[in-house]
Amino acid sequence: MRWPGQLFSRRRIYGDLTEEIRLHLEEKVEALIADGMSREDAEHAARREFGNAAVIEERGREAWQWPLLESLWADTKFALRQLAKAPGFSVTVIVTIALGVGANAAIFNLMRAVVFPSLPVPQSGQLFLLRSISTPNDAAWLYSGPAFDRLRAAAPDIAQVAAHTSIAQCHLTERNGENPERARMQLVSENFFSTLRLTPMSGRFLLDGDALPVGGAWAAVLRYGYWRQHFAADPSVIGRTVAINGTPVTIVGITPERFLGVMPGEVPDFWLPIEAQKSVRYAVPFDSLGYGSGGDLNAPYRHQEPLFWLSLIARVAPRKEAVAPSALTHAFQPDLALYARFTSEDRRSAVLASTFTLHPLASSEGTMFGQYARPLIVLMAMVAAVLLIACVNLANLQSTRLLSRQREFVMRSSLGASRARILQQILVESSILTVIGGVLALLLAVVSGPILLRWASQGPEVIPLDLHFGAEVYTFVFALLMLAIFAFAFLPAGRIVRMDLVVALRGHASQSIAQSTRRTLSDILLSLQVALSLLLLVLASMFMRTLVNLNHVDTGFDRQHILVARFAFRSAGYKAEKVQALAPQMLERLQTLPGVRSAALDMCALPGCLWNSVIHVAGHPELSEGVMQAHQDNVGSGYFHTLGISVLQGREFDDGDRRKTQQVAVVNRALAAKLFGSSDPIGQKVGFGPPPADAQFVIVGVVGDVRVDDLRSPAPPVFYRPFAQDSIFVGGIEMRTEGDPLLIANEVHRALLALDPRMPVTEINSITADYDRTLTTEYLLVRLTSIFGGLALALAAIGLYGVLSFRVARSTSELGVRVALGATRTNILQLVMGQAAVVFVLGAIPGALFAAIIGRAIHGLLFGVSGMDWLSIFLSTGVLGMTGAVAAFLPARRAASIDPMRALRTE
Amino acid sequence: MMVLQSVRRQPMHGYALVQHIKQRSNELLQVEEGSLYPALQRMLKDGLLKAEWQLSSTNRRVRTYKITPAGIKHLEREVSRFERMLEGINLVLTPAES
Repeated sequence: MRWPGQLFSRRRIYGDLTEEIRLHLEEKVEALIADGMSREDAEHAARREFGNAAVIEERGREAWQWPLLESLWADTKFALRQLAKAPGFSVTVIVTIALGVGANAAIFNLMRAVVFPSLPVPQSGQLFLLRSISTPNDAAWLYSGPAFDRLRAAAPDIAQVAAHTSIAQCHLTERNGENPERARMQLVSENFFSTLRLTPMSGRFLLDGDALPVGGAWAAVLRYGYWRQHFAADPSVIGRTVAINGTPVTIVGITPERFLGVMPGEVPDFWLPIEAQKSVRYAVPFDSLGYGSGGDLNAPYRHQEPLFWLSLIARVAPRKEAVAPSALTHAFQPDLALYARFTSEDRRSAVLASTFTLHPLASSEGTMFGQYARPLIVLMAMVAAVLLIACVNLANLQSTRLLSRQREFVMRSSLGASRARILQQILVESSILTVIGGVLALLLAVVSGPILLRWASQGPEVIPLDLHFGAEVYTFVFALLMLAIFAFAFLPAGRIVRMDLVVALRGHASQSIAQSTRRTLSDILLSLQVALSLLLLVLASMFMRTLVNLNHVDTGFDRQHILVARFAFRSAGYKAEKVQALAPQMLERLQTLPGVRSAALDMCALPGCLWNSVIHVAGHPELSEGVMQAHQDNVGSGYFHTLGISVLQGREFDDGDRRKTQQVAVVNRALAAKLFGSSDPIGQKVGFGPPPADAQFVIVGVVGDVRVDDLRSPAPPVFYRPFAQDSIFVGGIEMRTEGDPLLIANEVHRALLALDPRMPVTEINSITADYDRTLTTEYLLVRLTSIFGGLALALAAIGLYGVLSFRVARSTSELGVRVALGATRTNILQLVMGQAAVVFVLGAIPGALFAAIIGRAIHGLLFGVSGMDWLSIFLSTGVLGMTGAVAAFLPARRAASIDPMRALRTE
Repeated sequence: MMVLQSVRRQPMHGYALVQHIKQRSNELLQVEEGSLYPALQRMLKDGLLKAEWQLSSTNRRVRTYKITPAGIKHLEREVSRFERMLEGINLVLTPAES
């Protein structure tokens, strides 16, 4: 390799060459003089025959250079100097790219994390979710312990099957019961981690031996993030024993940092063996074959056939995906037979024919998917529109800058630069800006990721999604930057290439402000910006109206005055009798508080935690499954009165309903209509099972409908039972208050703790706050669409301002002529504003149409707002119009105050 | 190729090279004198020639080029390629044997 040496001696080499050529010419001249020419003629002849010495010398030098690199380096230095001289332009471009590309990258990453959540385990493509028949009541894909054992043994060399439950809240304390804290646990089979092929960051994972407790303590695996958060990353935590729901548990290992469980969006803190289910009081959710199938909720679930509580995953050997399902289905036959026994005749054959299907675990829909997929698509589209608007601005900005540098290009061209060389320089300049903007965009995306998650999270905990930047995000950003460069450099530069050098050199070729061929394209682009901005503003407005509507919806009870206290008696280890004794004391104490009008018990406080039950009507065995499905709530006496739910017929529960008296029930209007049509429900007998179990309860009242699940869904049919007759652990106490419920929250807490200092109160909050949590998607949409709408508005206004300013500046002389010929200030104003008005109207009409179309398409995300929301369209057009008017007025005013003498003199 | 061959026979400087080629080709090859220099620089870079400042026979300062072993190898390769090409063309152009 000789070039390193050559690099350093370049100057000497160039010097030698120059000298050489000079001497050659000298020699030549002397030879010609010797032939008889005069000195002058000899010199001319010598130069003629030699050729263009300067060019030849340059060509000679090129032999020693890498021309492309050298020219790029020169371009870069030149570009940096030029950009430093025009800071306004540079900063505007960089900020525009950073915002546009960064917002897109952030939403894209969020979407990727939700729709294609990462599963950071080896060969994640081999992992599948197993689904066969779904459970009878909840339609979930849950299976029993014995079923899992059969499937696990079915074909171990084809499919490694493991099981896990869903995640449950638990009570974490030290071994001696101190320092209680809430945590989340998930029960898994012993082969769960080995099926995933994870290696522990520290300690070990569960093994076969962990099916039994060791020294009274069950083995548990800790999540990395929780280890850092709760145990302060203490390395001695391995082998330590703590208590979960009162049961001793020994920590045996810690998962790798990025592993967040197998259910996207739901992250446990502890993994325990499924055999520990009863000890750690894991209770929900589960489903069963119903009444009479032999399930016992008080016995451990592990070996009970009719209780379904396990989700199944499997690692399938490569290329065996086709044969795995049949092997599994074959092993599952005894369970299908059991299902069939408890299914109605007509569906029996369908049940027996069910097969297993494999669903890739790495891209499985978590609970997040259904909720967030569509809003995220809307957001992606909006943020792409913002980027489009930004790119148009970039193109316009660059265009104007290049036009003002025309003289420079013409000069370079005449000095010998090819058009390609000039284009190269423009490209280098654009690339520098784009790269800086791109780096800032990535930073913006990284920073805004956690903020977005915070906004999208219900309740105080942030949704734990892995927002780690993978190859896809970088590729996406790169693609967007290419798009930006395209808009930014190629389009305007293409114009440069076609420019007429001679005309340009003659001076500022002044343009007429009223007509120009180049105007049409930028007008179209401006109208496009207006259309997109209008679209985004209308969408933002529609989402805002949706949120307002949802907040004002009639829930069927006195939403503004209910304070809810929630408890976790079961997981804190309280015995049922103790809670039953405590309950009336709690009610009495709370009702004496000033500010509390009345209080009532509830098995679980609204919204959204009710069971699904099937209600059979005595004497009507023909009713179909669909009609008999209802939510169930067990409530204390005086519940309906406390909540402000109207009693439409009969009575509500009172203290007369006790364990030994007649078993009663109350239905809501929706259930009454479904079960009884127009006949009177009072006095009818119902039950939870087919005859003879269908006459257990007498209906004594009909109450109004309540939106028990969330604000959007219409009120479902609900079946109520009194606490006194069907005792369950008290999940909550609802209190009707005089004023704002939050004002007495502290007092309520104190009163409860005074009764029992260790009472496991998990939360005291107004019920409106709890309902608000069901609105996270809506809040997220409103926040983000407002931001994007505002951004779009600002960008469009800047674009309009920029283009009009430039046009006014370029047409100074023409405007001067007009004024000199008698045009008034108003005339000029009208001229410029008129142009802006045309652009606006040409953009607003398609924008409004497009908004109406899109509105129809996202109908499902709206509430109380039709797809053709005239109010939103009207308001948004108004806002956009005013902003545009201001943006146009500034250059118009400048145009109108042109002094004709000065204007003409600049020519 | 011609430059290398000329220099091989006798090391010379740029001006002399131009004269040499003109004479040897019986004025059939008229080459723009200046275009020699970029070619010489390229050959210098590739190591086919080496250059030295010397005093010529007429007492002028000249930069004399000498061929290097690598240059000789390159020249022989190029010459044989050229001769083969010439032979091929010849074969195509001569009328077929009857």
